[in-house]
Formats: sequence, structure tokens, C-alpha cells
Amino acid sequence: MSSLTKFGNQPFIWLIELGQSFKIFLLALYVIFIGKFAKKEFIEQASKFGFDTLPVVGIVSFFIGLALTLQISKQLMGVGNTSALGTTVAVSIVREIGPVVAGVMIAARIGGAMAAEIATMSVTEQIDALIVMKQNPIRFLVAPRLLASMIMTPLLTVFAIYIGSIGGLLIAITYVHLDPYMFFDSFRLVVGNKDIIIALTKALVNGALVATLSCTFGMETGGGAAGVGQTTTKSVVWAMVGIFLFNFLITNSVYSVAKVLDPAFVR
Amino acid sequence: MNLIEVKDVSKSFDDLLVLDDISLNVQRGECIVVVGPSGVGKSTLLRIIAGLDNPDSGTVKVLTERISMVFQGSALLNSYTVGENIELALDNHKFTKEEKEKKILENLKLIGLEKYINYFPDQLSGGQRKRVGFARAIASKPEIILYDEPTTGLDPILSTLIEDYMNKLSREFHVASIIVTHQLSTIKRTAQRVALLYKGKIVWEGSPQEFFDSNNPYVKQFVNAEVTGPIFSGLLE
Ligand SMILES: Nc1ncnc2c1ncn2[C@@H]1O[C@H](COP(=O)(O)OP(=O)(O)OP(=O)(O)O)[C@@H](O)[C@H]1O
Ligand SMILES: [Mg+2]
Repeated sequence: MSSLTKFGNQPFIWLIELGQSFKIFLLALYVIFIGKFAKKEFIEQASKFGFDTLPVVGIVSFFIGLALTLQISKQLMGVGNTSALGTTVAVSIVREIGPVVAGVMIAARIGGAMAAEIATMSVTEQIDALIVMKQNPIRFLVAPRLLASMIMTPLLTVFAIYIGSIGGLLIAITYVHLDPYMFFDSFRLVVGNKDIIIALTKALVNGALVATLSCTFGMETGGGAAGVGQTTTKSVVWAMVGIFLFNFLITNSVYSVAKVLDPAFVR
Repeated sequence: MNLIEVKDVSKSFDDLLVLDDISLNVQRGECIVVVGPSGVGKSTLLRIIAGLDNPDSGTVKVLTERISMVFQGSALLNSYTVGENIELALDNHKFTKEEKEKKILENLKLIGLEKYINYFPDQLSGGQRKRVGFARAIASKPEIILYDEPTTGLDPILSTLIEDYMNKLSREFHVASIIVTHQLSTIKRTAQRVALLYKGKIVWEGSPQEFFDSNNPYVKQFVNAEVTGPIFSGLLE
């Protein structure tokens, strides 16, 4: 059905696919801005998003918080300066671990399901049926999912940061025997608005990536049940690569910009 | 007046030439039945007319926006109930909520499924899904309806009901219809013209009477369901 499948054997297919994804992203964004997306679908997607991901994001963040803090405290105990534990853990969790963990879990849990759902709709001609009924798939399918993802991913990222920090706190108390107030004090000290903005920017990008790739690849799916499986894997892999790539790019560009504007920011 | 004008349309999938220079016109109120062996390109032809696939060459003119389609595999939206599926077809037609509800119920009654209004497609049998697909396609009172095997999988009584209704739509409401079917009963009851598609071409075209009386070897083999003849379907060992 798709124009993409025609290019299936060309070496630069991924460039075409990226272009297509970007186009669909812009179209959906436009539809969101003019408010002409399926509202009911949006509410359903947003609530499903929360219910499906809250437990996994919580569990994974907690364990990463434990492992990260344990590792850092071992290093700091080696040099005899555990007072820096709180600040180090705080910066890592807020700026890096929280957004990436939430993003990856969302890509796996939601992105996979979203891609499979839309791919199934595609191979069973449900999307074609929508088109014949003059229902625009961007308004009807993509925009509600994109908006849900761009709202829920930041919320889940904040949740991941909290749970990860609680994991860190547990290690700080039990293993390093730090005063819990001191641990959290260093959080307050070191985490500012800029960190929150970095975390939320990353989350917003992650949310957009997951929904856009799942929807685009889903709609381009042909070839029956096997095609659905391939699309699901492909969406999850691409979304994860995208998440790590953008995570680095955002961290990197923040530091380059900050170096110029606000040298104190680069600790 | 022609509502559908298909001119010199060809379509291939990779190396497979499916439609080879096909031309076909359908007038307002006319009902054309397209038959042909499985895999010959009937669904592809309908999809091209509906604008879901592009032809490689040739032109398709559809002279109204109000077109709908009964899909071979029903294509009901899985996350929507039977009622909501029909509502989707009415959404862009400026009906009030009450009008919509009335129309949904009317169309479900027609196919005997009014009790299933809140069921999801997964909870229906294949034949029930097919009927909902039919109700969804006719609900918005379109001027063109493309039916892809509308009676396949239905019992003879339901088949007749659907066939009679397709007749009514083309005769009373002047709907231009293309019906793809493998059922001879559907040809008998609904067709004004029959076209036989084989190897990418329309190899025979005529009235249903001529179709059943024809000496054309393709048509004869098809009508009598013979294994031997010019149409090759497979090998009996
Ligand atoms: N998206 C596609 N990609 C590749 N090949 C396709 C595609 N759609 C259809 N085909 C091929 O085109 C040919 C015609 O398919 P089509 O579905 O139009 O047949 P049909 O006449 O409707 O058959 P049936 O009576 O079994 O429904 C088949 O050989 C099929 O393999
Ligand atoms: Mg078919």
C-alpha cells in the first residue's frame, strides 16, 4: 500500500523512512495545534499510557537508582568523600538516568504495542476503511497518540526521577550510613530549573520519537502477521536508538550553550 | 451519466502484472458485477477506484465524493463497537446526534444485528462482521458503493437479503455499484452487466442472461465450475 515499500531494496531506505516520519510528525503536530484531533481517542491513549507504564517505569528506575548509587558510593568511599554522593546521584538521575530509563521503558511497553496495533489496523485494511470514510488517519490515529505520548512521557520521567532517587536514598542510608536529610539537601542544592528543563526536554523528545516512529512504521506495514511482527521490532529498536542519540545530543548542546551563557552552570 | 470512469488502468506488484489496460465505466444507478478467479485482481481494481492504491498507468475518474466500500475482510475498527463503527461513516455528514443514533439503529435492524450494537468486532462471527461492514458502507447513503464479496460467508437467506438490498439501492436510490463476487446467485439477482476478469484483462462483458447462456470458453468454465478449461486454477493430481 505504501510508497515506502517500493523503495524496499534501496540502500538509503532509512533516509526516506526518516523523512516520512518527520513529515507525519509535523502533520500531527499541526493537527494538534489547530485542535482537530480525535479527543476521545486521546483520552483513551493517555490513560492506557499511564496504567501500562507506571509499574515498569517504577520498578526499573528503583533498581537503577540502587545500582547507580551503590557504584558511585563505592568510588567516593575509596577517596573518602561521601559527602558528594547526593549531588552526583542527583545530577545523574535528573539529567540522564530518569529521562533515558522512562524513555526506553515507554519505547518497549507503549511503542511496541502502538506499532503492533497500528500495523494490524494497516494489514487488515482498517486504516483504508477510515480513509474511505473520509476520516483522516493523522487526526484520528497519529495526533491523539502523539499528544498522549508527549504529555505522559514527561510525567513518567518525573516519576522515574522520584523513584530512582528513593532507590538512591535507600543505599545512602543503609550502605553509606548518610543522614537522609543531608542526601536530599544536596539534591535541593544541585538540582535547579535548568536541570528540570533538560529532563523535560529530553522527555518531550522521547515521547515524540516513540509515538511518531510507531505510528509511521505501523501505517506503512504490509505483508500480514509477519509484517506486524517486523514493524513492532523495528519501531522499538529505532525509538531506542533515537532516545540514546537525542539524549547525548541534548546533553552535549546544553553544555556547549551553557559554556557561553553561564559558565557557573557547567559544574 | 458515468460516475466511475476507469481508463487504460494497469497495475503491477513487483514483477506481477495484475491489471493490464483495464477500462470500465459505471453509470448512476447501474450495477456491475465483476467476477474472476481468485487472485486475479478484483480487490485491487476496487481499491484503485476507491483511491486506496494508485494505478501504474491509466486514469480513474470518480465523479462524486460520496463513495463507500464493503471490504473483503470487513475491515471493522477493532477498538470500536459495532455502533461506533457505523457512526464513523456518518461523522462527516453533519447529522445531529439523534439522527445519527436513529440511522445506526435503522441500519443494524436491516441486517438483523440491532442487539449487537455494543459488541466489539472480536465478539462477532465472520458473517456478522461482514454484515456490519455492509451496514457501515450503506449508512451514509453514498452515490457509489464498491462491494468486495458482500455475501461471502453468509447463509443463503442472508445472502438474498443483502442482494435484494443492493438491488434496491441501485434501482431506487440510483447508487452506482460494482459488486465483486464468486456467487452465481448474486449475479442472477443483482447484475445489470457482468464482467469477467482474467489475466489482467476483462475477457468478457455482457448481460447476466448472456453470461449464463454464453458459449465463451472462459465464461462457460466459470458458470459450470469446471476444473478443465482456459482458466487455470490449479492441478488435480
Ligand atoms: N499489497 C500487495 N503487495 C503485493 N502483491 C499484492 C498486493 N495486493 C495484491 N497483490 C497481488 O495481486 C494479485 C491480485 O490480488 P487481489 O486481492 O486483487 O485478488 P482478488 O481477485 O481480489 O482475489 P480473491 O478473489 O481471492 O479475493 C494477487 O496475486 C496478490 O498476490
Ligand atoms: Mg479479493
